[in-house]
Amino acid sequence: MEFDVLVAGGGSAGLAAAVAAARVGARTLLVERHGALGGMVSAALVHSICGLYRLPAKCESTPPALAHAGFAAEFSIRLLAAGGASGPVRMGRVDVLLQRPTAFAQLADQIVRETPRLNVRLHTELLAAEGESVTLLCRGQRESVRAAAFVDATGDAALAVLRGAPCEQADRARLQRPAFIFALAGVPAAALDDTARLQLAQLLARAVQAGALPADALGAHLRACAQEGEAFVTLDLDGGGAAYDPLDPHCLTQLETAGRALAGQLTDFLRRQVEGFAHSYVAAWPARVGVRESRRVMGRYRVEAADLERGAAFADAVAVSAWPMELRETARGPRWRFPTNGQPCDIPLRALQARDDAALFMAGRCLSCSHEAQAALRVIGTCLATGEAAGLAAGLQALGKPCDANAVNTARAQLSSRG
Amino acid sequence: MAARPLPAPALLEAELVVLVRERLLETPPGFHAESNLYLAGLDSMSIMQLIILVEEEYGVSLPDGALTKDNISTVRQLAQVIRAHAASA
Repeated sequence: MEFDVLVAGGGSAGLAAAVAAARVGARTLLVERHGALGGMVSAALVHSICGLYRLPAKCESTPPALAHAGFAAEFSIRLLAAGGASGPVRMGRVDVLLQRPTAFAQLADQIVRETPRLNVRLHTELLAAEGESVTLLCRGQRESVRAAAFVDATGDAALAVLRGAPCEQADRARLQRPAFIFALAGVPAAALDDTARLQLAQLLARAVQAGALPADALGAHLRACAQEGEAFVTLDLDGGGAAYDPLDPHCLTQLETAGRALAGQLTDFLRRQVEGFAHSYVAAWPARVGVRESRRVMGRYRVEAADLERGAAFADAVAVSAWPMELRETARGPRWRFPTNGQPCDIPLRALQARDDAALFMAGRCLSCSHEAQAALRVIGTCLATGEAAGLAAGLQALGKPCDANAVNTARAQLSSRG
Repeated sequence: MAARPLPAPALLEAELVVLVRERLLETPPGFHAESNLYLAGLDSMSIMQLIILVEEEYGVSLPDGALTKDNISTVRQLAQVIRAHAASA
């Protein structure tokens, strides 16, 4: 099969990239290894969209303002309209949109159905890639496809590695820790208000001190869901400290089993010891542990922490990042680094272009940036924005049209006004 | 279980500012005893860390219900809570 653009990875970045490429006129193939689009939302139960809104001004009454035009805005507005999201809600110094992973995946399906020229292969892995050709694998069966341009939105830079594009990765001891997220049903809203959550934090701390729960339970975080009566529990896992390797099947296997074991212990504790949780039960396991950081592709520009801190502007900006650096190098809660001027940082097109591979673009959490910068750029709102920009650039390039930053931004504006 | 005598109020606040800055949160420049801890990133996960750090450091035991969202929103308030429970221990 022949395509203009192949997008690898159907998470938020890949979805945005594939839709953008198809809308700009490219015959596009989106390849996803799970049975649903949504990436970390569908597979790891990430239930909030971060990085959609500008940082609030000092004045607390300022309403949230979308940081992005184009697909990120379209998707979040449609998700809200479909009843799949609520908020935004203010958490400390940031605004977050709460969403239901099931609704996210349904909206992704609907948008795919509406988009001519867009083909999707679910349950499909990448096996090999060279030049214009990619070999796909579904349950032991190979399929060869060709494309003129590629977007790596796999999160782990899986396509870049197969194409031989240089990647980098932080020391294992410093990698952002993974999260095991599960859904808990039968939780009344009152059990999750501010006062109850504070009491719960004290109870959990006490239980860990007394040895009734393992120390790993200190990485637990409960949040009401966009669905009444349900909560999501996020367990930040240590992952073995310096032994953590998000690309190693042994390590991933251990994370999944340890995550379920800890989730079971915590749920038992909540049911027995905490008011409001007596009738709670695990409503859903994640299909996989939530990996926050692994490989990053080396691009023509590398976004650095200093760029985010000063809200840098670039002549070839094609997206922005409005989320602070949220460093989770330990399983004991985030460390936040905000831009000194509170302003969004531009993301240049060069950070979405592989350094030595003119046919390869990247989006989402494997774009070209430093470890610290990735702690800001990896969030879903920004993935939607970088995905759209990479998809537009790849689509325009594959069709032989001008594909510089100006062309990308013009195409986004034209598509937005048409929608 | 007192680890050491509780320092004088001003010193306790200064120590807590350092504890929060170095062991709990990435505090913004100019963070001080009256800065809002929630705006510095304090959430339910870091509150668990805070309880354990404070109890280990000062040998106090903060009973369930001792903390409310509003009585630990600054280091100054937190120091008052710690002093109240150290005195009653």
